[in-house]
Amino acid sequence: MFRKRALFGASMDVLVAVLRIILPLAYGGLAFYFARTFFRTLDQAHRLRHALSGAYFVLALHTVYIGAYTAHYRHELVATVFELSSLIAFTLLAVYVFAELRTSRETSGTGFFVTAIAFLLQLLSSIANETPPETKAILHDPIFNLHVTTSVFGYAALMLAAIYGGLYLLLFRSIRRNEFGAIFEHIPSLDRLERYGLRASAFGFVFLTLSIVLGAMLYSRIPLNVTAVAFLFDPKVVMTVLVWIVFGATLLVRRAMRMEGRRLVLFWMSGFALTVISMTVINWIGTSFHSFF
Amino acid sequence: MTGNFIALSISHRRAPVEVREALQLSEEETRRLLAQFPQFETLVLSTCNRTEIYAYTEEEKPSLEQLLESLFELKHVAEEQRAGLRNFFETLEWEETIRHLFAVITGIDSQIVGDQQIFAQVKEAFRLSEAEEASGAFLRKLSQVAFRVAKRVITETTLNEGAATISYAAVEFARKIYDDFEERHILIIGAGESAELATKHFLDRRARRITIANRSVERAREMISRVRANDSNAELDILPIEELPVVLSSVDILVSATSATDYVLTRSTVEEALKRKSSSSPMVMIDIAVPRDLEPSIGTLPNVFLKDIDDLRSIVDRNTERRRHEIPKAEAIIEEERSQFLAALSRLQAGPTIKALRDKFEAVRKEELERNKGKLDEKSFAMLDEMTRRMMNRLLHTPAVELKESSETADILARLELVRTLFGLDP
Repeated sequence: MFRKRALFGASMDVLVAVLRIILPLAYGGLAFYFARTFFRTLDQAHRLRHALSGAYFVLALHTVYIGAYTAHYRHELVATVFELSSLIAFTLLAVYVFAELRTSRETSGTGFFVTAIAFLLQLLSSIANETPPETKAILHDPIFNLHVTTSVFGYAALMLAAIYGGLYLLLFRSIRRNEFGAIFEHIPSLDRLERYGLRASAFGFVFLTLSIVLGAMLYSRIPLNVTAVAFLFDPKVVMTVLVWIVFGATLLVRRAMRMEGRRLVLFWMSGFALTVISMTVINWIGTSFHSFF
Repeated sequence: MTGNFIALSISHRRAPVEVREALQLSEEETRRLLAQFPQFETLVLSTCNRTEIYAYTEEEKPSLEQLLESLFELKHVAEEQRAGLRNFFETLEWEETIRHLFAVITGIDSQIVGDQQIFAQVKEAFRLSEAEEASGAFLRKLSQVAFRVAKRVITETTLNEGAATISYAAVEFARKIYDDFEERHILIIGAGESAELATKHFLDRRARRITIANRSVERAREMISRVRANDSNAELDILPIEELPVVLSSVDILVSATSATDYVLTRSTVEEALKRKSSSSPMVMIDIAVPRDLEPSIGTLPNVFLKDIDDLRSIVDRNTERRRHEIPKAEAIIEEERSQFLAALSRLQAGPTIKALRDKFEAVRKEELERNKGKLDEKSFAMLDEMTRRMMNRLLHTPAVELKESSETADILARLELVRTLFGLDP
């Protein structure tokens, strides 16, 4: 029994080590492919089919990595910044595939930006190659893992929405200024960017909702040494709820006020800016993720 | 090489539009012309940019003069004008003709480099030739290769990408803001040629709701009847130009192409319309008229994208330049396919030479056997017959293969010539 467990541990160790090398290469390859489609050096007819297959392959590889990592270290990729950056790379690509690539008629310029960011995040995680820390007991709790995973998915979706928003504003400016260069040619239409951005925002909103609900469940499950008020006023809880409200409002405002185009994009981009600024401030002040851990 | 393939061409390269128009053929005229040359395999291609007659025969070379006179007769060109018109024609022979046809079908010889319409027009010309029984094995084979060349150029180069005309650039520009026209309300102001072309391009891009605003409702109606042939599902309305402010607030894309000397739309009218607009989605306004129809200051209004003909010209110029850069790639494909086509034709010619060689060897073998028949018993004769047949087959196998193997046309032809001379195969 012990030998079997040791053998399993050793094989997982090897698998994790190998995938840690392969994953950035796979993301890099995908980013290179998207770069080629972006600069139109590939035949249009084959672009989307290959891009989608490539993305599915990288996601499958990363799923194996997450599975092996979780089985071996007994926690998900949520304990450190470098573990998280790998999870964000995965979620970013997954959300991109579901928000755009699966339903698109052709690969757009956004794929290049998304895969390039995912590649950098995975590269960072693989290069750090840190020994997983002694984890707290909470990291083994399934609800906690779901809570973190859903919030990573949520933030990744919002990051993607921000990429779409950024590209929207870039293209908007190019058109206004009569700059008909690479941005004008290779980035999808304003209409489509807005549609994909909204889809990503909706994804993000759903995942953040789940994350908040799971967080509340955790409070009632785990004996935390804080009052309910202190729990609710934890900076990250406050910030997540704020971001959730902003993106929820984006979706609501669009329907209720028929807000479209640049104004809507500016609205959700301000939500993302709020996220980035508050994240930076909170991480700078705080020492652990939530004030009560 | 046996057979002759020639072409007579009048195109935008040499002839002005009025000459091309005078010699452009309708489908009926094309059919009549095809019927005039039963001795040739004939292809007639006639578009607004060119009228070309291709003729192939394995016999005597077709007479260019005969083709030209037939065309003049058909178009009722007066005798005194014919001499002048001859200067506008180009004549092409064999390999040049094939290269030219491939250049035409790929669009590199078009006035708008990379024009995609020409592919369909050449296809139609081959179809007509087939329907009129003016095609034979040569033209059928040539059509297959020509279509392959065109498809390869489309997939392997970017020769056809990007808008290369103002009206198409207007539609492509609008697609950068709204890529799906099905849900959009499009307003076309004017019923002239540019407005009609823009409407056609929008319909090609699956626009479903188009309003045509024009001073003359009758002209707008005529234009609609012409473009409707393309797509009968679209909702095409007519609006008197005075009622423009009424519909403006519901419009997503506007293209203006009138010959008016004053502004058709002013800033204040558009400002009012924007206030009444039910959503904050952008309004795309494209002015392809000269002088301009839309007051330029409209472009500074929020959520309005206003572009004029100069803005679009810069897109067109950029695309045209990029298309020109693709020409060498397209030419390389043409050269490769042309060379393979000629090699394949030459290989077909190897067959008769090999057969003649075999016949010659067989005749010698038979003659020698006959001479010695009396000296041998029946069994020995049969053995000798079998042995010499096998020897002959083995000796001729390698030359037969070698005559067909080379991919170079000139090489195949040189070998065929040598064999025919060495063995005295020509009568």
